[in-house]
Amino acid sequence: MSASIQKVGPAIPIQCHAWSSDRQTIAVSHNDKLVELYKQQPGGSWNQTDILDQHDLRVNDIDWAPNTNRIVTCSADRNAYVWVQGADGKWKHTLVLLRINRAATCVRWSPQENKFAVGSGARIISICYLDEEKDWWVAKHIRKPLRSTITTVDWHPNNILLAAGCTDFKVRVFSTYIKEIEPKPSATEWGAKMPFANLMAEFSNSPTGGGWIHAVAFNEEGTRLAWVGHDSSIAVADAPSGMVMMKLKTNLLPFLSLLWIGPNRLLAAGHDCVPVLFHVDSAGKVSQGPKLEEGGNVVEATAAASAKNMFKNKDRLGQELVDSRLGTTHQNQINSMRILEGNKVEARRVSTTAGDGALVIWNLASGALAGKLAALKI
Amino acid sequence: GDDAAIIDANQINSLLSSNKNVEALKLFLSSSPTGVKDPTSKKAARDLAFRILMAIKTAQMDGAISQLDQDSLDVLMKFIYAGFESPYEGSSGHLLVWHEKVFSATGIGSVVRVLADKRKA
Repeated sequence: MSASIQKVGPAIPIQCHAWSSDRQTIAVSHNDKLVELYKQQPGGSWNQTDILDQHDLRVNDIDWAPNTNRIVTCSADRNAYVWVQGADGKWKHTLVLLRINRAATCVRWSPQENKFAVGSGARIISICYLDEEKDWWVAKHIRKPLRSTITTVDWHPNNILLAAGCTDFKVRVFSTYIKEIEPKPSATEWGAKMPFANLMAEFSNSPTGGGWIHAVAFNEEGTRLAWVGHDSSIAVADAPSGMVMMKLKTNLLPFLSLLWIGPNRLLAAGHDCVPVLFHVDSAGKVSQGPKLEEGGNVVEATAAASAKNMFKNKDRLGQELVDSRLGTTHQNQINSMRILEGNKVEARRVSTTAGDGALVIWNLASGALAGKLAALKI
Repeated sequence: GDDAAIIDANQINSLLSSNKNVEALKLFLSSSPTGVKDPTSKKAARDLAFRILMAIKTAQMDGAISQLDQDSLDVLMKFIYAGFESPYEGSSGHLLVWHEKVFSATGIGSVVRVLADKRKA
């Protein structure tokens, strides 16, 4: 079975999820102010081990740093908390003053885990780092030229560059170089001068607007940046070839999340409730591959068992057959996707959470899916 | 940046009168007709789109669609929905056939782009 459903709490939409580095514990938020930690039991079920309860409003994003084992959460209450696990196993929080006056929307630890970036509805990205002397997190702001809510952020492997997607239909790459905590970075394909908040590159999703950006992702080397927008498109920008951007408009519903699962392979998932494979060739051109599972159509219900039921349905629902179940594993849009096993060069297992409150684990190395991936050679 | 519309109405009208309807459609769709800003020109663009779409018979639709690229199909879908929004006399039935045929070529993606794109028909 290449897609397996896991039950982590009630069937309430899951806003976001993040894994511990040993992948035994998952942090989820069920569309409320709490972050719940679930640990996998030997039998395969999930037990709730902790509840992180500090936010006042809905938690919008969670990220779990694999090496330092710190969790960062951000919320509509305009705050972020950094959580550290003590020797007794309990999680202690530290408030981070983001100095924003709108909701925080997304958060990601940098590769070296000494900084994290928070996007917000205040048109500001807060870059937070630990001031060792005072032992508190300081936030620096990136403002120009952001004109609208930042929906998604992703870090370049050099720990300095940050990509951000925005509801002004643009994707931008900024420098987050903080001279107090890190050495001056050397030049990359995105440019040489990297003072803090410098705009290294800007991409418009489409000359005709093109929809909000829902997810951005750097590839393993940081040479390519991929994103998905609400106009049902997926695009890849290639820095070495001179910031060339290649976009593919799909026939599907918009995607909400995106992962690199190979040097030339992307996995995108969203309103079609199933992850879809994409291939990027050497010229940067994107082409659509198969869905990870078929059966996207509504499953036809069998005719009502009795005449009584048929009329009952007609009366109650206005139709004879009850056909509200989708043919895919997820029953609602997928809004969060993580690599569970592997990395951006070779991902073996991927996890998705969705509006149906389910966590699904996709085994990309299993027979059926491996065949699809192998066939994905253009 | 924003492409301004460069609709050559005379050229399109002359193509329509010599019954080169599919050519008229291709020319119209490639002249950035959604780039029109002021209301009068927008109405004129919609009127022109309506005349072209009504001129092309059902039997010619598949052939016309096969000659259009992805971007043109997206623009076409925008004008089909514009036609639903402000219907002309007797147009809806014909537009529904157009919609069905364009939809089978583009899938739901083009409908999403009708809603999500900044520039409307």
